[in-house]
Amino acid sequence: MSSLDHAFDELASGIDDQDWGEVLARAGLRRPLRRLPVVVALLVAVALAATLGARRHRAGAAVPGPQRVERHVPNGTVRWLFAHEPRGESLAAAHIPLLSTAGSHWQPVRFARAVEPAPGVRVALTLIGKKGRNVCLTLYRPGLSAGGGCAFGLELRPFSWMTFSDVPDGSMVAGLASDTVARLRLFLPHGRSRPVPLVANVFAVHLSPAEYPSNLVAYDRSGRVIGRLVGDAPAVLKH
Amino acid sequence: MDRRTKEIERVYRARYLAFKNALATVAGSHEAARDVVQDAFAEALRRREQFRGEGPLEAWIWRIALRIAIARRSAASGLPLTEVGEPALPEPDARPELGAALRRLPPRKRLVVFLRYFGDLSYAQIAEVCGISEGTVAATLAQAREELGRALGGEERTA
Repeated sequence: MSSLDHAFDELASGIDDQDWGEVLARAGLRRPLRRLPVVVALLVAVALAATLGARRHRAGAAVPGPQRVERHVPNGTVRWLFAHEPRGESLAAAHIPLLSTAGSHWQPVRFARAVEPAPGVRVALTLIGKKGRNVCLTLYRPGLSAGGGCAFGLELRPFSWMTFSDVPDGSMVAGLASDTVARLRLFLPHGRSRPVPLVANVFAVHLSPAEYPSNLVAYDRSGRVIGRLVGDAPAVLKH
Repeated sequence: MDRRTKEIERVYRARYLAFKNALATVAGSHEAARDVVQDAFAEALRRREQFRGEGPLEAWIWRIALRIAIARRSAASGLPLTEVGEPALPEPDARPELGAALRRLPPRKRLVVFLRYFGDLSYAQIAEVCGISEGTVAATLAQAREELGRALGGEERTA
């Protein structure tokens, strides 16, 4: 092998993140299984309620903040995660038992890191499966049970999220944003808004009942809106 | 699943990384290249009945993938679709001397080099994909090896 061959070999990406199921889905030949909740069915119900709530809102009352996506981005990735870079902490350092993470009872865990996207909130990100291509997110909060879910054929256009309703005085939206997302901002009723920190591509934001409807907006590096998550209060919070 | 779908899947599973690495030089990043590869194989699946078997299936998919990569890069840069743009190492800082030597090559020659070294395509496949003769491919690669080898400070075989 020549020095030129070596040079190109060094520069090639060795990350084999192929996903034939995603190709079939893009070809319209099969629908991907987007999310597979593994901890409690309640999360599914809550997420569904939130989604349905958001649809009701889109059809009716005004939602705060930007109203449309300015740039449609392709499905993104989280490079450090699939490159197994040691961001955040190890699960051991974060005192998180491996078997408490979503998906760990179901498929082998190939990579795991813990990050703290908000004070007191820890998120374990794990890659599971034979080739470590399924991403799981598990949320840990003091005094509350852990909850999370996994995704096949991870779609980050530009982020993926879950809504947790078992939070005192409100709910929590946590998720994973693609590398395309430069920043997130949460728009709330009455003209209020606040930045949502992204820590190693992970975000977690607490929402009180008075903060609905909300609009979580993702921006690219040029400041263009590339994604929105319009949220209505989960059904369990409505009275 | 029909026979052609299985053949396309076989190419995908065997050659995914080669596609991604070579297309990153046109798409601008490995992330963008992954998206191009996924869309290219999806398009190949949708159009599989149109493949007449007049050339290798893989070369046909490479043409689809390159067209998608060039179209996206063109849309972003305003270049006409007939141009390949400026194929470049997605992470040039990793080997700056090689990146600089590659930039001295004309864009189409650069593409031939990337298809050879990242895509691991044969001369015949590169000729098929780029619509040039095998002789041109051989001459281009011989010249590029010499220039790039000099940049790397070593001797390269030109045969």
